[in-house]
Amino acid sequence: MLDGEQKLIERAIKGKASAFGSLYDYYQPRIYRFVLIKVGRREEAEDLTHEVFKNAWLNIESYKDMGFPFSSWLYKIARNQITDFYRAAKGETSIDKIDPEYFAIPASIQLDLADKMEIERVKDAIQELKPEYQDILVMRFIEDMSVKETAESVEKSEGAVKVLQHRAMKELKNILGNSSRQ
Amino acid sequence: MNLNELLKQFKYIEADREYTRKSRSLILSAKHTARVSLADIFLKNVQLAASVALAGLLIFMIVGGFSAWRMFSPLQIANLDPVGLKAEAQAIDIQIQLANLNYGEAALAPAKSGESTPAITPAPAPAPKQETSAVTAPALQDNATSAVSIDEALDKLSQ
Repeated sequence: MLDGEQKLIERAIKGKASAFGSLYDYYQPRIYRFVLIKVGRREEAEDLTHEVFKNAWLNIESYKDMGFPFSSWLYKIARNQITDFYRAAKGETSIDKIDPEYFAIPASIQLDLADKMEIERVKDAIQELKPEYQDILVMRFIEDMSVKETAESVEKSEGAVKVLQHRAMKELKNILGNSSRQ
Repeated sequence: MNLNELLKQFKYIEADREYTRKSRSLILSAKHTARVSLADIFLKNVQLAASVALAGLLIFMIVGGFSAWRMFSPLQIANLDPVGLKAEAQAIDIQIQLANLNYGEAALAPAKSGESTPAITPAPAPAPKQETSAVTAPALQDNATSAVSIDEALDKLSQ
């Protein structure tokens, strides 16, 4: 959670663009990763992330602090945005048509070729998972969110999150196992 | 690398900096543009002013009632003035009593003017008003008699 987040949210609700700018700076990378891992294409991830924050900013007056973190509100908007995207693109886009070039690990990260290939394989495997499993894996293992925070973000109980996490990892391992055998 | 470590590598994925800069400025200016709509501000102010004025008028009417209306309105409604109505009602009553008094005097006048005439003279049958006033006129010439009669009548009325 961002330091002084509550005050930033209050100021943003009052229309202070600079306050929302700070929230954007902190949460944009997370939301972008979340969207990119789910949609697989950099261009689309950029468009969707832009829409997520634009909607959040235009509707920030409707945000009410119900004890959940601000990120859960953003993840919710992102999930809705992705659902709309797939609904609109139904029949036009499929995972097979995704161009791998759009999913690029930044050059700043020093990885050998084998690691890069492994990451690509994991990325492909994640995209074969159910959206529910994807959400849990991204939040728990990539964003290092706590079980409680994840539960609040996906609107499920902590117990349900633990169960989903276990199933998601099992499913991911199965997919990776199958792909390595092929 | 095991699966957990591989998943951790996804944390280093980040958006293009140029895209982030453009997206940020576009998003933050989006609301600003929407906010500076003069028509919206004007409309909101008009709505607010109208609602406040109507609410004030309603409260004023409830609290002040018609007395406030009487005090401040240029249109005076006579029917809503209880003092005026009372005075008017009393004036009507007095006029009726005076009319009866005149009628009684007219009836008594011939009896008092002639001594040979029997004391009790039947009152003349209801005659046209012109005739009554003709009879009344000479009676009023006798000031003392009429004054006494009016005093007596007023005494009776006051009793």
